[in-house]
Amino acid sequence: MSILITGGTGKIGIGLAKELVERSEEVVLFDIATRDERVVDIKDKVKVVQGDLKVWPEVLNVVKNYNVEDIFHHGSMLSLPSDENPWASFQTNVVGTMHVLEAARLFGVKRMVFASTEATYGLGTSGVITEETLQRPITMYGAGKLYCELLGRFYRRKFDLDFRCIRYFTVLYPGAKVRALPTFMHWMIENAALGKPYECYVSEDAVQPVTYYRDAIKATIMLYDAPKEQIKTVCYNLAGVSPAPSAKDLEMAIKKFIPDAKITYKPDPVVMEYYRTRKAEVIDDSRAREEWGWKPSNTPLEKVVEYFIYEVKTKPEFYGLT
Amino acid sequence: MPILITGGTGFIGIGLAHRLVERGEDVVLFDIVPQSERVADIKDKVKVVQGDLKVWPEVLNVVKNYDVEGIFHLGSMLSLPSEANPWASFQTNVVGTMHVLEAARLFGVKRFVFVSTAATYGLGTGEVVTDETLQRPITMYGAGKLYCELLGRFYRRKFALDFRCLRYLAVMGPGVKTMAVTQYNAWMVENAALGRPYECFVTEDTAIPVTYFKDAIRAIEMLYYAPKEKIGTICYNISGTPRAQTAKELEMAIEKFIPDTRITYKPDPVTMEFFRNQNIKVLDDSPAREEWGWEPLYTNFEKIVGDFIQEVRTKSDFYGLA
Repeated sequence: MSILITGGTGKIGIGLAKELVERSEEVVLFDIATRDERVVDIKDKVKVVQGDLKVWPEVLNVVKNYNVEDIFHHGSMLSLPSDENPWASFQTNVVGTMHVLEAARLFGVKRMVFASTEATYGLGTSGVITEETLQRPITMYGAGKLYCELLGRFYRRKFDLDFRCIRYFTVLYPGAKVRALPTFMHWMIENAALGKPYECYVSEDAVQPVTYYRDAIKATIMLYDAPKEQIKTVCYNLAGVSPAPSAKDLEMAIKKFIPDAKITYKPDPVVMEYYRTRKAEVIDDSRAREEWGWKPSNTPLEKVVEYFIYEVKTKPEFYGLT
Repeated sequence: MPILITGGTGFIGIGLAHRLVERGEDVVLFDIVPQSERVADIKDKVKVVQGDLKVWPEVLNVVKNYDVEGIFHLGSMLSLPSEANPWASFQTNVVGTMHVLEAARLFGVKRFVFVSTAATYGLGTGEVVTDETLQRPITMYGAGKLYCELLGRFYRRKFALDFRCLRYLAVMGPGVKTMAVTQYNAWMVENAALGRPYECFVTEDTAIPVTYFKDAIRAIEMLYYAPKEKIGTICYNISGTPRAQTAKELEMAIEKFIPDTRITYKPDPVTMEFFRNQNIKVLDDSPAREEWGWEPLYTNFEKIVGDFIQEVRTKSDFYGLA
């Protein structure tokens, strides 16, 4: 019996894999572009399978061949690539998730943890986001993720699949390659740490919730471990730094460590439309706390930045930053 | 330039086709199972095309070949069939809608009206549903329709498609063959009008606001012809009776016209689960009223039942009830 992670060599996938390997679980990483450099230190303890969520036999094969018992479904196209190529996003994120759900159903997978997103919120938000806030996303990415949340809930009700879902509000880590809506945060810190100037593609006052990478991994594992009877809300918001910082707040935090960081602003209108629509300053994750004991680490923004800079400076090869 | 109606020989499609023909429009009806007998009276003025929403070249062909200018996208699997076969529902309702949106984009369709449903509301719904009420459907049908609303909004924003959408709650009218959770309303009247007994599949106190099909057709027609600048909300709830009315109240309204009607109750558990999760007493349609002057004409059971019985008795051939 093994645990499958789709998007397995992505940053969160690798973090989950390391936690699971430490517990001596058999782990299978499924990814369309397997990044072997990230797997180096655990490569004898995991199976890496190259495959495409869009191709259903590849998804069914990996679940069947490795006798998969549980799935972390983290593979997906991110926000801006989804808006630039909505057709591929539909196939990967929506049809692909249908393939994973079907594989789970057909081969009796016990538990499925799905990675959803803050981008499922949009129109109608006013600052405080709870589990009952209207989810009316304006992006292709957010719409697809919301639909997959609902598909998962449906599979839970109809087919007794133990589906659970966590909504990340931007997980910060070094080495992000893909430009998603909030990647300006990753790149602002990363460039400063590498001594490079950075032109930020949102305005100084754009507010972006952000979660410490280790908090996100810990929360995901806790959700996975939670006894079945404690899961009621099914989809859980995960708050990070609270209240959410603006781009300028992040710049100030970086400058505590790197006073001469060169950061300028050139807002991209496409990205700014999202930030004008989606108001998220305070994220209520009380359901996660009440139902499965999540305790926010209260990691302040400065600590997140400090950790990030340390990672970039000590492990640039690991993050592909050399 | 023709107007395409998908699901064109269905319940709403046929009525709409007649209205559009009266206006002098060229009309193309696309349907997986064309009921051509229902367009016998306007057969020289409409084209009937057999095709499947799941097969994208069939969708693209009909839009290209007939030089389609506007689309009413009504074709879909309904609630209970979607629940019984979620795989077909995914392909028809979700992938199929993607095909229609793509056809509209690729061939420069000017206007697109999509029929959604109040089944896009679900968990967390109070008794009064407004446009801002949380949409968290529990059914495959509701989840798919909600996603299609969001896809339409996305195509509107990204590709300037003039996408508009209606949410019907419970439309009742003669000649419907397909089972849906609210279909007992129509079948109760229809059977009574035909002098047949009827076993109702919900409890006597099950209540929902209903829309008479003539109002439903008038609403979708009004939305299509509303000037572009009046469209602010994009997706509009459409009500009929101002408050929810019970199955028993309907039975009593029928008895005013047909005193010896025989109606019994045998609630179906699947349908009743739906009504336990969705308890809509009032569907607020004020954005439709304010933005493009919507007002229903059939606002009580007596008016609806009277006209319904008349329709059944005078046009039983047309409705396939002979």
